[in-house]
Amino acid sequence: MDAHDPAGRTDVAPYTGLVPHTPKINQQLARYGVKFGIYKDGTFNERLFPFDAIPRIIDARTWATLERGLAQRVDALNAYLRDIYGAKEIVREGVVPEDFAFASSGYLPQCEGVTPPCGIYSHISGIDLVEGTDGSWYVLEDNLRIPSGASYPLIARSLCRRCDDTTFRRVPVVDNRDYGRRLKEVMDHVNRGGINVVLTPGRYNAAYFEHAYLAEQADALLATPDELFCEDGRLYYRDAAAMRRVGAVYRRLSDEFLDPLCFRPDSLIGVPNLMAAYRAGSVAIVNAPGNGAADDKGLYYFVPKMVEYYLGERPILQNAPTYLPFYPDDMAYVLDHADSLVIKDVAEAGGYGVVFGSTLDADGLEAMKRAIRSEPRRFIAQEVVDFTCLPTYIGGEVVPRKADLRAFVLSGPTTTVWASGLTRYARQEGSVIVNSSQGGGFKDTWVLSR
Amino acid sequence: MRILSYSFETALHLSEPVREHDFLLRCRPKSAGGQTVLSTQTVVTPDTRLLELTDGFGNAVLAGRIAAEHDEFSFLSAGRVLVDRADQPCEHAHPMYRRPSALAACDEGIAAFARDAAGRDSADVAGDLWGCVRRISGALHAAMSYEPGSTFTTTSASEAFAQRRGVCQDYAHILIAALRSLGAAARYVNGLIVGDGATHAWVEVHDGSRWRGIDPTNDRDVDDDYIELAHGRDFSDCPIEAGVFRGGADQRQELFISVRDQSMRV
Repeated sequence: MDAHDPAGRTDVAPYTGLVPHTPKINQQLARYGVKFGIYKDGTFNERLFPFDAIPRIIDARTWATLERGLAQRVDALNAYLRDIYGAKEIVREGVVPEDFAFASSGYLPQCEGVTPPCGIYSHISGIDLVEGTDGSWYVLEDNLRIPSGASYPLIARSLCRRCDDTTFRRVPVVDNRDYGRRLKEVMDHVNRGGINVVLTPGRYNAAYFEHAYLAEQADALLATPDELFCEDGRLYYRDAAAMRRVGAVYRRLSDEFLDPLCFRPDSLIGVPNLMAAYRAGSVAIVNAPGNGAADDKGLYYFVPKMVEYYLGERPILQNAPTYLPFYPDDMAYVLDHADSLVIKDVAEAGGYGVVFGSTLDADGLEAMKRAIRSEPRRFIAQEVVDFTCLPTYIGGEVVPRKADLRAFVLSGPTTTVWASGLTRYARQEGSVIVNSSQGGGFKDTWVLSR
Repeated sequence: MRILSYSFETALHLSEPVREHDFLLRCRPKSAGGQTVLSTQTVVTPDTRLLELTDGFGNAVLAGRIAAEHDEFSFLSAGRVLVDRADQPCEHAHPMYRRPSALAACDEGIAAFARDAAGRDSADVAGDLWGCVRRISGALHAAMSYEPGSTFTTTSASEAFAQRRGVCQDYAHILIAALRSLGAAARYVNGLIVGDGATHAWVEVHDGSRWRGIDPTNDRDVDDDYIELAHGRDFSDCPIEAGVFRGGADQRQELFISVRDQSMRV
């Protein structure tokens, strides 16, 4: 390949040089402890997350649109969170019905009446998208609690660079090594005085590698719960050597375990009275507690409406077409097309989960329709988006696999999108399940600068 | 309208010294609803700085930490409160109070009980809401037997109703679940009552413009004998005391409560 050729102009793919290094890179990932933890049916499992060296490549023009759309979406979601824990105008004006706004298990009344530092709830948002076979991108899910996975493309890129640096000199890939700096910028922006820490449940947590790696990259202290305590409305870090005030905590444990005096009293990994310090305004919690109020399945339908309501703009990114049986027109459509839709139960426990209508037999379909008719608010239905495959190197050959993209949006002084992201692919041909829990793997995401 | 003076002390005796004791108290009444706090003071022993805050439900909370070793912990809350339930202000009911909550979720048994007792399928504010509330409270009072020690603080409405036994917390949870099943907004209240040597719990129901109290344990409307300390969807939102510490110690708790009518001395 000519050294001056931009990517994609020759018939040799730009990543060809990387592919032979795949086994070596996977060995190194395993050595670093890059694993994925899966909590399923009451048991916890860890497994390696296989890396495929063939990246997802996004051209500069497509990225510019995604970037604007993602920032817009996250700005609207942050505005919604400020509203729903504050004045609740969007509910009063009927844009989001009460039944959806407060039925979500992610809505936490313990977070009422306090605005986080700088009004930012979701500092790090993980937005899951797919590229449809129709050429347009669709958002499938917003993750505003503690979206994980940024470290995977970061470390994979650095290992790739070590194996074959010439590829990165030849192909105009936007450097993704600025993630740590951006994370630091976000934490510094909301910091209320003191140091930045990353709070990990501990080294036995499946994502410990990511916690440690991100702390190092963002120049923050990695802390375990027993190294933090609250006194007089402030959060402190303490080790054998010193005691220091903490102004921002990037916590990698979920809301319910955050503070045993506010949420689950049996939590042993929380920091007692952290919520009191937060309410007193002396510490920023990254991401803010209560964000589940905006990223639950039942709220997804309303996100484009939030963009219009709060920003007065047309949404740049679209949702997968979604129907709420709660609305009579949608109910009629869902009942007529149940066999071709994905039906999602928004109730938190003991539900139907996610069901593809096409997999149900006649009886199953009837039972599902009855359930929808009797509890319309409990379900949402979506068109199945047919999304594109990416070339993937499996078993010595390049084969097509469905893949999604988790893009990371950082909200600090401004809202910016990290020019990279976690691309996850399905293990089986034709499968649309890209979750790591189903044995899929991941790819780096290359954003081209031109 | 009455002026009540109250004094409320909880002492925790620990079999061995503990340290790094973090706590959160909801022992101080707040001026809200039909009560105005005229004076109040809180004393925590061992002495420590207290952070005063309002929680997500609007309650007054005090957060503190005792780092040093101690084997006694007590807090005293005392003051005077002007109570005038006839002058309950208008306020909006947050929709969360219409929804099931952890300890006050309805089951088929409670729902059927509520329908039978109310004599209808829904308790709408336009109809005879308070009549419904009283009928369910009365039926519950008759159906349950009051038995200290028969339940725990983590017992749900369903569990208590199934055994038809419980304490004021359980009566309140069952009534809340019953009222929510009929569509009403209902919340849990922790507080004090004239003449009782313990803390008490009751229920508030939103009548479309204001919260009104009903006490199913005593089957009576809440009047000027009651001082509210905290409210929430159920007990788990608003315990009077919550704490964690390091050190494995057995605990014994003592309560000293007095609530007296002081109106004549105004």
